[in-house]
Amino acid sequence: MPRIPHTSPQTLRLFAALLADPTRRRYGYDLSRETGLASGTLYPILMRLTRQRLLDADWEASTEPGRPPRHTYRLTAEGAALARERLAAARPPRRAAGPALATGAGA
Amino acid sequence: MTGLVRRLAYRMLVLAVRGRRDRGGDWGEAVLAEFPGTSGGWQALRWSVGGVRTALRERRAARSRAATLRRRIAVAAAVAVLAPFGVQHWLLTPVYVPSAAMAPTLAPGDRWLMDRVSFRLTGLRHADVVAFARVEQGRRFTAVRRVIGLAGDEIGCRDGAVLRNGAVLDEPYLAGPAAPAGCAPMTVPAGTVYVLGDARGVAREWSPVPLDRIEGRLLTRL
Repeated sequence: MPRIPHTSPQTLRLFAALLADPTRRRYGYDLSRETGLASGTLYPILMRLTRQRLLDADWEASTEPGRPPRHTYRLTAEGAALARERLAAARPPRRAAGPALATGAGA
Repeated sequence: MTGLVRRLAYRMLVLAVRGRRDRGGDWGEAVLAEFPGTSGGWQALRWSVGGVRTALRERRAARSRAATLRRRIAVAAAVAVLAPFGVQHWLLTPVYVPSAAMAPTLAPGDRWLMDRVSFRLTGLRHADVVAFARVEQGRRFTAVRRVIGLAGDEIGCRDGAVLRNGAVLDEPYLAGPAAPAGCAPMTVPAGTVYVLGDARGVAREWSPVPLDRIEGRLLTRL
């Protein structure tokens, strides 16, 4: 069976965090804290989602003086739809090997 | 301490993201811009390590297929050129036979291949031919001799033959007499080997030789 993309526990945790308030633009560090994903796990996922136009990434001037612009992320409409679909599919563990959201291993 | 760790973590991340450029890739810069949010040394370090991975991945993704291929070829060529030097330095080295001390087995001037590694793994055995370093009057040179006794062996001579632990050695590689000049009985000390040249009476002898002076075991003539 071919692997379904965007179903890893890490990606699902990110989806859940982004869907909490889908219209807000989020910072990478906050997402890392919320999902418990290390930067080396989180950013490759962000890169992949952005490349596939599921995520909208943009620079935002920092409010703190002397701090460089920060990268922000928001799900695109397509991305939000896919995220909801994937989370819904993952919640009731229909398959024995299905990834359960709550038991995602630490990064 | 924490400040130092944070500074080092930041420097490492900047280096990975930007290298010698003013600005790195978007994703590397994105991780970099979040660095001030981290607190403490450990968290900063973790963030930076992940950032390095991110930057490397970004760079790899940005390279074209042709560039990747060129890079692979360059790496393979460098390995192909450098590997023999590594082999020669650490594994197999040619050795000149410096004297007639090992005649008739080894002729002076011949080149032999020396195995630098295996004896460190398996230990030396009786009758191995080894090269070792000698320093005399400040000059270092390589000597080649045969292992007669290992640590704990009792070496002695009787009736012109060499004895090991009371038994006469069978030495088919000899052309002349078996007993060396000035043969004093000895129990080989730990950490040393007892060696003799095959040209007994001709070869100068220095036994026991410390094991850490042994450079390798001679395998075959080149």
